Amino acid sequence: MKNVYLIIIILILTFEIDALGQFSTKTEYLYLKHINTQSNKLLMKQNIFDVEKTLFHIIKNDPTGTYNGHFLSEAGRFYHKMNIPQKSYICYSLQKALYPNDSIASYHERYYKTAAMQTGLSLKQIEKTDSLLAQIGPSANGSYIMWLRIMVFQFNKKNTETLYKLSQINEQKHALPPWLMHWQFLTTINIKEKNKSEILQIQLSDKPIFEQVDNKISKKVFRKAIRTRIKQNAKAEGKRLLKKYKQKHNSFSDHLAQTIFSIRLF
Amino acid sequence: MFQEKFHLWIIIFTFISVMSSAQDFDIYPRLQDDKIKTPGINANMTADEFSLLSRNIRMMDMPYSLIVPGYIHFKAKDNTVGYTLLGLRIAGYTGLAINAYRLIIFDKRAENIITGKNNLKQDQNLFITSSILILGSWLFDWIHGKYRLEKKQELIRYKYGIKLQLEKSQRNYSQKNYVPSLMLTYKF
Repeated sequence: MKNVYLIIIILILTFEIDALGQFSTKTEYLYLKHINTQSNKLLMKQNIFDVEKTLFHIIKNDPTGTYNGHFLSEAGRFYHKMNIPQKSYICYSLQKALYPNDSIASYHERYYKTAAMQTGLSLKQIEKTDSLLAQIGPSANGSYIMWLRIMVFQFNKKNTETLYKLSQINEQKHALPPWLMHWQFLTTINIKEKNKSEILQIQLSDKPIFEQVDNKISKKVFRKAIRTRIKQNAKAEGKRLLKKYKQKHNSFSDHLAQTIFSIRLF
Repeated sequence: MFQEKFHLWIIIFTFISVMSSAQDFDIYPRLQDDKIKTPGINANMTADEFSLLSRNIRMMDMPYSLIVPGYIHFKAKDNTVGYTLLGLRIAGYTGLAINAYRLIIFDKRAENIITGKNNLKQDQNLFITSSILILGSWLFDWIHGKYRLEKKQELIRYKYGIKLQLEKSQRNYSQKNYVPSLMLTYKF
């Protein structure tokens, strides 16, 4: 009987099933490199989803992978060729911040600067960002959040959507700093970048944003927040915000806005 | 006598069964029922890629694309071209409708008969352009749509083919991806 068990155990160890839930970062990197040199747009288009998936996988599950830096720079080249400068810039800056020790071909630097300029940055701003990114240690605790802070504080409208997606990845792992939570909220309710930069300059705490900003910005935030809740058909939250808005602001224009909101929330 | 009739019925029944197994008037009948067969899909494959791979352009799609403009491109998930073809076809039909309207309302056939002059208000340019738009968009949909679908299928096979090869070349038992297990298959 023992022999039978032994044979079964040997068989179990001999046979294998390749689960293939996710291709390794190395595979994705090699494939990306392979198709980047071909510049076949249709072929590249079919790989967009895979690149995004691997990017999220790197940030969320495997931040210390051997091929992460190489993959990110190749992804930067990929997005550059696909004419998506926002994502190209973000991939390159991530590589510079988190994996600076990986030796990458020099032409990537040119692509990085071109992508950054295409998102609306000047060369001076790029150099300033570079120096800030260089300060992040590759193994520093919370280096991803530090990178996110540098990128968010550029207040570049073109990057907001991608950064918002990336900012949500880390939520479950670390407690989010107050500035990031408030930035996410302000992004959800479509506050302008100019106003966001004014708000985030204040030393923010965990309290609701309405209680920490001045009257003028508070009005804007209330109105935008209520409008967003109405669009989302979240009436209970809309009514709660409206009640707070009524308590805090009582001018004529506020009364008018509050009446309109009351009708829309009815 | 009864046996002969019985055999005759069996032959007719078999003939009808074989004929009806072809699901459309294509010359190549479908030999397997892919609605029942569960395919072995790569875990990384998206639903879009899977549906593109499992689609074929058949003869039946040709009349379909005549009725539904851009049908083949929609089938190849090329919606932009599909909607453009839809727009062109509508423009073509509108041109023909305008032409027909002119013919009906302003037709002076009676006058033609009397005077012998050709006073027909048919706009030949409009008629020809509209006809070309309709016929051209149909042929383009059929030929280009088929090409696009085949091209996309090729590229999907290329992508997974290379990725699987790359993954296999890195095969390492110490990796977490590999689950030691036993699989027995019995085929008959």
